Amino acid sequence: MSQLLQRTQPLLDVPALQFWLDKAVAWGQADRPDTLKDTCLHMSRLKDYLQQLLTHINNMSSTSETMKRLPLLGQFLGRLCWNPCVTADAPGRWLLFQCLWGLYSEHPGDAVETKANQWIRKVLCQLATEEDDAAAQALMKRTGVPPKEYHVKVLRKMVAMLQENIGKSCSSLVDINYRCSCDNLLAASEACVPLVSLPEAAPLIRALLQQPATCVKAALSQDFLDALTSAYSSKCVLLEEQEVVSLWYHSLSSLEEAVLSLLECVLPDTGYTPQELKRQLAQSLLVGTFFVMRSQNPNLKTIKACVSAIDVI
Amino acid sequence: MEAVLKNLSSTAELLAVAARSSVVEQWDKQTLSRAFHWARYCEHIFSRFHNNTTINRVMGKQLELTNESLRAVFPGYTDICFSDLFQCQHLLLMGLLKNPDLPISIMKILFDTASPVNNQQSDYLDVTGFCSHIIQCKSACKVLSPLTDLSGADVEVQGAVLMERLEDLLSGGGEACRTEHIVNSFLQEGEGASGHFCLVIAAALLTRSNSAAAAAQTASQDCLLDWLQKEQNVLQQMCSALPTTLIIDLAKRHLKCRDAYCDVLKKWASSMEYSMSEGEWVQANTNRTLSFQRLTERFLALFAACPSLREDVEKELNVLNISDGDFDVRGLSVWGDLLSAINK
Repeated sequence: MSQLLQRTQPLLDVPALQFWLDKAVAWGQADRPDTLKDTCLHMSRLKDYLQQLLTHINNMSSTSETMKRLPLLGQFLGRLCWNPCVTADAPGRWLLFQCLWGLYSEHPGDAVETKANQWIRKVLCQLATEEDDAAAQALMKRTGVPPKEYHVKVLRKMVAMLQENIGKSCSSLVDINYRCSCDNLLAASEACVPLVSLPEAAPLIRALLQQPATCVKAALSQDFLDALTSAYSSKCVLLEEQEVVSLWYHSLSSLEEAVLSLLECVLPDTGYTPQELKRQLAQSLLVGTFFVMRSQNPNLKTIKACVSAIDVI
Repeated sequence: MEAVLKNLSSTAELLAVAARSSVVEQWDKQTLSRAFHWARYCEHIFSRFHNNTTINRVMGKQLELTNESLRAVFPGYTDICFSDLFQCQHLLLMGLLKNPDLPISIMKILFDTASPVNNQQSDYLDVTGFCSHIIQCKSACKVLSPLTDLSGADVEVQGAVLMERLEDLLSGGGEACRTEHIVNSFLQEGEGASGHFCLVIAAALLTRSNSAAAAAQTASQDCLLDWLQKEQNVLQQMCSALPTTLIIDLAKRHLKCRDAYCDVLKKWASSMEYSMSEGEWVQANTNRTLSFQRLTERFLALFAACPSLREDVEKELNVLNISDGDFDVRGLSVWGDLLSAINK
């Protein structure tokens, strides 16, 4: 399977599409927590695949031709539209919608293209306006709260509730059999994989990062840390200094990336003057943090990694 | 007021055009932003005046006139009334997205994942990503909801929104009957007091706000409690459907809830009869959802949370037992047996 996914020629990759379609069907099956979890785990590979599909769609001369070569494409994209993990994730949603626009024909040439156009409009309309909760709808009407405002309220409330739960730290250093609530941390961080660049989720992300690692079970999902690192480096999310440092503590690869980017700017060919270089280093959060960390805990492995990197500079 | 009424009419016309006319083919980003600006304006008018019966009536009349002329222009036109305006932007959006003549370029603006950029030059708020944001919020809620507990954030939000609305009504010098109207309207949704509705009422009664709004909140919660006293079947439904811990929280928080719950428990006790074959008190009616044991547990839980109640209730049970003959034999008086069970 991984072989198929690594192929750089996506043109007639029907088996790969079948693989992902089967996945999409499985994810849509029941609203069990593990289907959402599985989607989150596959998010980055799914996005790579969507990027391939997008290139392919854009290279085709017409939608009819695309549909002839990949007849399952419509079904696949349709299922992804109803997968909340995909639609909550900013880059995922962008790729998905770009694929849909790619299939839209300004001047439909045949029945297939006309139908595709109608379907695209319909799906997008449903996604943006349909309300599946009758009780919520009734309340909105009775109390005069418009749908958008209502959904933002619910989201903020959920984030606040989860943040509160996470705040309850545990002290199970003594007894490993003690059941603490730190299992929640892993589950919460997994769920936050598609939400890293969502402003309303920021308080929860912050709470997750700043949870002291007093318990062996208080681990954050690596997928979450990777997603956050990637969003931060592509400037899709703004993090406070404190949060960035916490991110480095939790994720060695994130720290490595920061060190590498700092190294890159001090390489001889960048064209920085010594003045500019000095300023860069002075402003660098990494360098500042290094000095703080070194004074607090000289033995930390990550510090040693930093030491060697900074010494080079 | 003249100007406001005129704007109201114009926006109603705008909604009709957006939904039914091919004129939208000409729309560009500016037109779109302007349209949403007027829809927002109407939402604002609604929130400003929906409590005011006189103005309500005036606006209603204006819209009736507009509806009439629009009906002549657009076959199959659906009338719009003042109470629809709380979600004017949503109505505009629905109309646009369902209009087959809406240019795809406009749709792309609405579904763009970029954030809106608001510069000083434009008079109107940028609506880039309007739909994208809605979808993102709804999906995020679905992603996070397995992590939250049973009653969930939506119940809490609905409870909070209900409270806000009641506070709003009461503070606007409002008519107490209108508050009843709001809560009653939930019941009219069909199945009467559904389990979900009970949870929302409980959440509303348990909301806490900061000290500034405390007085307003107490007034609305009192209003809700008075309504609940009158609606005995809703009360009963709440007592049987809600988790006991939630009921205890309510009893601790509101004296009226404590007393109401106690009354319901006594009522349930009085409806029990002794079954010789089973050697136990059972509910007389057909759906036997409550056992004598459970009833006793509920009393004990209530006393644990509200210790001051115990003495009074015991006295009362004693009086009832005496009126039943004050026998020492099990199975003759539910009150006597309850008393012994509580004191075991």
